[in-house]
Amino acid sequence: MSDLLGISSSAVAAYQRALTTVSNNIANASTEGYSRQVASLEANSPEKLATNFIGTGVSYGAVARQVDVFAEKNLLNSNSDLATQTPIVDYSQRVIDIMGDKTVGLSSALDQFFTDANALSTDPASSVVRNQFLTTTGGVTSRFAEVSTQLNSVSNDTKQALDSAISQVNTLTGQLALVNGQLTSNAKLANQPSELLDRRDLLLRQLSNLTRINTSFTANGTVTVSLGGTISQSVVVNGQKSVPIGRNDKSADPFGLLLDPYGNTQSLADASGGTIGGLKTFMSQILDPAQKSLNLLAKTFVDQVNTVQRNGVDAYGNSGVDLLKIDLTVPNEAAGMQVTFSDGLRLATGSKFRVAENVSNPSSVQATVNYTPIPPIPSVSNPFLVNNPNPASGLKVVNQGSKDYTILATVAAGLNSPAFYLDNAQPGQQLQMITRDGRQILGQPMTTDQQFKILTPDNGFTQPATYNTKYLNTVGVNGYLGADVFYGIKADPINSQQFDGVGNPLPPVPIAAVLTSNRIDLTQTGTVVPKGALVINEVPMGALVATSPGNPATLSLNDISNWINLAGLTDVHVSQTNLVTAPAKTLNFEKALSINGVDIGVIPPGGLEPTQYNNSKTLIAAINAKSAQTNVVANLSINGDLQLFNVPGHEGDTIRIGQSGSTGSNNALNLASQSYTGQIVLTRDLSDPKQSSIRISFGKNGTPADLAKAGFRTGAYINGPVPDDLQLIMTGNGTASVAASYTGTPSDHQEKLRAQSLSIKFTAANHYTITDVKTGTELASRDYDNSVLNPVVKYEGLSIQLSAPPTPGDVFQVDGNQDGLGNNQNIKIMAELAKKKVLNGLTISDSYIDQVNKVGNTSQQATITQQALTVVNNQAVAARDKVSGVNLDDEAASLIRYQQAYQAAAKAMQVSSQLFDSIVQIR
Amino acid sequence: MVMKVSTGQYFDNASSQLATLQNSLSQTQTQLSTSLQIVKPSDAPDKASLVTRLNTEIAKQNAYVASIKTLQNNLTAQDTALKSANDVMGRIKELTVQANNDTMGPSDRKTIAQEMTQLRDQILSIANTQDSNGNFIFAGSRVGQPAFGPDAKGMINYQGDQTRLTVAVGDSRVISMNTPGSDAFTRLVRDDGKGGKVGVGFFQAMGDLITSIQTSDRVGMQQGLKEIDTMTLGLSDANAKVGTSLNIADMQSSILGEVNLRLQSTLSDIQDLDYTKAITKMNKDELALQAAQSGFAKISKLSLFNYIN
Repeated sequence: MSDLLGISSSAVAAYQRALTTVSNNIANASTEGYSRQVASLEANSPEKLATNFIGTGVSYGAVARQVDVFAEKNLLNSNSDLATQTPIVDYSQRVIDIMGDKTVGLSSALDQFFTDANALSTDPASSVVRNQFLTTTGGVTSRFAEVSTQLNSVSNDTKQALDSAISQVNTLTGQLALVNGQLTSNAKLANQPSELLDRRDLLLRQLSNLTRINTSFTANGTVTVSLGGTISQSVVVNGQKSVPIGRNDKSADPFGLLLDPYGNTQSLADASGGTIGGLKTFMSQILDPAQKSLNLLAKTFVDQVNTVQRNGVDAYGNSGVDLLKIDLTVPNEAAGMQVTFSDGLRLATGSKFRVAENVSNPSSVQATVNYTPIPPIPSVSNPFLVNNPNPASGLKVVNQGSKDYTILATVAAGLNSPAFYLDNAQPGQQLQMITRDGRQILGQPMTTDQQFKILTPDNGFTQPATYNTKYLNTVGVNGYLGADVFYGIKADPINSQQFDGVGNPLPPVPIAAVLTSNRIDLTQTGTVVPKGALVINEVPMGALVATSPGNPATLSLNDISNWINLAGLTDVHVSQTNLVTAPAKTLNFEKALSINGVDIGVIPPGGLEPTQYNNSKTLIAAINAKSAQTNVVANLSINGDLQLFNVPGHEGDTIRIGQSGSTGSNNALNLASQSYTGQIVLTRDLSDPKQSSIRISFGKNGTPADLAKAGFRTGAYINGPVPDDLQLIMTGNGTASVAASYTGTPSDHQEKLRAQSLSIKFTAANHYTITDVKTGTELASRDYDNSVLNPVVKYEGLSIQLSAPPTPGDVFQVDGNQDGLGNNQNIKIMAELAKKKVLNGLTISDSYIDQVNKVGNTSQQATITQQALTVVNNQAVAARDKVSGVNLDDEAASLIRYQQAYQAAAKAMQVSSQLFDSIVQIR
Repeated sequence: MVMKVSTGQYFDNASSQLATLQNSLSQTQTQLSTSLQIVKPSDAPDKASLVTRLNTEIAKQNAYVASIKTLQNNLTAQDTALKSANDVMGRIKELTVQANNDTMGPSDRKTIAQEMTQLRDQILSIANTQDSNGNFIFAGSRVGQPAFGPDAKGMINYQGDQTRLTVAVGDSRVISMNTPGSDAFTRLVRDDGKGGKVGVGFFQAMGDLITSIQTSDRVGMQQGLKEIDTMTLGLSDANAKVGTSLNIADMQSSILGEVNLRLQSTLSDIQDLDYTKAITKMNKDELALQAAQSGFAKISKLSLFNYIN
């Protein structure tokens, strides 16, 4: 239509549309996410007239949505980067305002704590200053709790912010899926409604504020969104489907994210950037370390304060108890710190030990004392020496060649009534118990060679320890620290508890001491025990010689009875017995039995079991039926076991047990088929229940092997608490077995020492003794080496230093400081905690300040990054707006342009009409 | 080509710029009203730790200053007591010299002994001086009971302990805080008559002297004359030590003052507001805000639409 009207009418129509587009731009000038639209006009295809082409007007092409894909994508990334910093800056400023604040922060409370400790060190006797310090300590605990609670509330806020961001992400991805659905109706991007694409891009921009996203677009503009490193990882929008994300409540990390929490759940660890990434970074890099270090600091503070407190004495003279504790039911240690007592006098300001110079010291030497706690030791330091007196549980010990001794264990002070038994001892083998300072209190005197070899620091003895036998095997007031020790074998009277008719206890009835030997080895010949080797109730015994008929003569029970009687003890009575016990549980009535060669039960030919018995009652009857021949009778013991013993007149006779016709061990009693020799029983008249015991100990040359020959087991006994740490040693070559039994627990080393009062007396300028004042026991006797620099007297963790060389006669007394109210030595250590490097080379205060510093630096860094990224983001926004934004002046110009074109086209139409009229008017 | 600015972006930019300026003004306003450069730690997160550290350091110095004050009180009390004990010892010496004079008769000596008994009691009461809290200052750490009193045998002897206490008055400086009575009222060493030596308490020796004056025991009086010198020497020594401690305390006090001043001025440099700078900044911000506001008002009015009729 290359006519004028056609051309102009096409132009009018096109410009009208163009004007519509411009006015739509103006209308949407402030619409968020709107992209400017531009109408494109196209010249119509010309018509060919002869050789010329003539234009046919204009047509409206399409409305083009102005968009720069690169700028869009850039903006998405920039949004994520900037949004990451915002929560880091905001929340870290909250944290620094809590931790660095003078009134809320911990620092000023700790300062006050140490200030008041200092003040207390100048006036430890004042209860006002003591209570002031206690109040300040309470202030520290509440400040710890305050900071902890505040940080916790920041943590909760962060979690809520994250939850909110997650739900926003889910809403946005849901909407994107809907938009994708609408986009599918068109196959080409160009045909898609601009507004729908604007909406899609706006949603993506909003999403990028929350987290970093990857996008990919299809030909028709539908978008795929992923939160992972690549477009295929952690896809949240794919076509019309969206996948929700969620927070993992159950994981240890409260910021663990999940993809599709209610469906095909996967971890979403790689989500980063945006608000969510910022919150995660804040939590993991600032808040979590801050909380952890606060808790660690709280624990360290409590530990340190309590350690100092326990090392001191309070105003009552008692050892300090823990000042602080952590309530473990509170989730954060820092929030659970508590002061344990409210009495200022219980603050342990004084030191645990003090030294006093004797008023009559001939010199003016001043002494100072220090105490370093020594590590506690277990009851019996050797774990293989178990608490079981049974010989079968004994520890096998071998001494060979020049290694003729074994340090078995250290027996801890405070253990109750321990006994150590020596079984299978070879001649010359002994058990010995010696204090660390060389006081032997149990055993037989050691040779010079043994002393030299044994008393070395490597064996746990002090340097220099001097050997001393003053307290060897002594009892009561003469004993080491009043201890009651015994080496040998003993039996004490026991108290039997009786009850009246209605069950009320009656006064205990003492029962005389009874000492029963093991089965005697009757094959021994000659002089079994030499004269004077053994001592019974302090009376030396003669030689035990075998006199029973034979060649050579063998030992008999009568030999032993006579030997004991020869000691002439009128209140000790000797008898003989033989008791063989067969446990009820193991009796076997299907087996045969013979006693002393007389058949009791025989399995008849072709039979399976003896006919004589089928239960314990009939077995006893069968045995007793042959008593006249065997001299053995049977009965049931209290606990149902079967026991055999000799008929009167034959007490102590050997009882031989076997199976009829064979020597096999499978007899009805289920006992080894052998001869059971008799035992010796000693009984002492009960005159004084406290002293009427029977004790067989060693003479000068006696050994446990001698005692064993007479049928007795050697034990090293301490009656009552162990007075001091003792080294248990086995001397003498050979293999033996040592068993132990004890009750109670070791005493607190420090408290034991505090209860003691020690007197250090210089007997010469170069020699001193340490004496326990209460018992008068000489604990140590040592040389004082004046030639070394700063000589020190050391005893069980105490170290005493003198200001000048001592004069003979100088006495210094060390005690547990029961009344040193004015002593400030321990509270001074508390004040010095301020300077002590306790946490990774930092003091308590510095460790806290270090954390404030870390948070401060991170926060500062985030602020700078935020500023830089804001500039970048502004540029990205500008770059997008350059293409897609609406400038009203621009639109006004377009408006004028299209309006004028429209008007001109309309004019052309008018011209065409006039032309037509002109033609028509030609007449 | 000039970068096109969309209308929306223009308004966004303008409003964010105005907000920034207003923020800065309000911050300056807070600083001026609190006279602090750093109002809250987040204002300068990188300096928060430094401020905390300085505050901790100042608190520590203040604690030492407080310790010194208490210490000075203690030491002054000891100084006063030891000085007056020294004075009394002077009179005792005079009397002992008099008593040793051959012209004195037994009755004169009895009079002298009487006065000396009173003087001894005076020294005893000095040795049992109590502080304002009722603690015995010469009893070592056993401050709850008199430093000198009758022992099990009825002899006046030292009942305290020899705990010599010190107090920290600086990071690496300690001053001794107390004088155990046995260090001031020292015991004397005599021959025990068996070739060895034996210590005798201060008041016991003085009692012996009084007895010998009473009984005109010439040997005893001679020995007493020598011993009085030793006793006086012990007291003077103790007094000198207390004096030295007092001097050190004074010196340490002024050192701490200087350290404190330095710390305070460092803290002030960081934390306190420089008014000149702050006011200049406020004026600058104010000007900028006014310019921005009027600029925005004018420019935002410009629009092509104004000219389309």
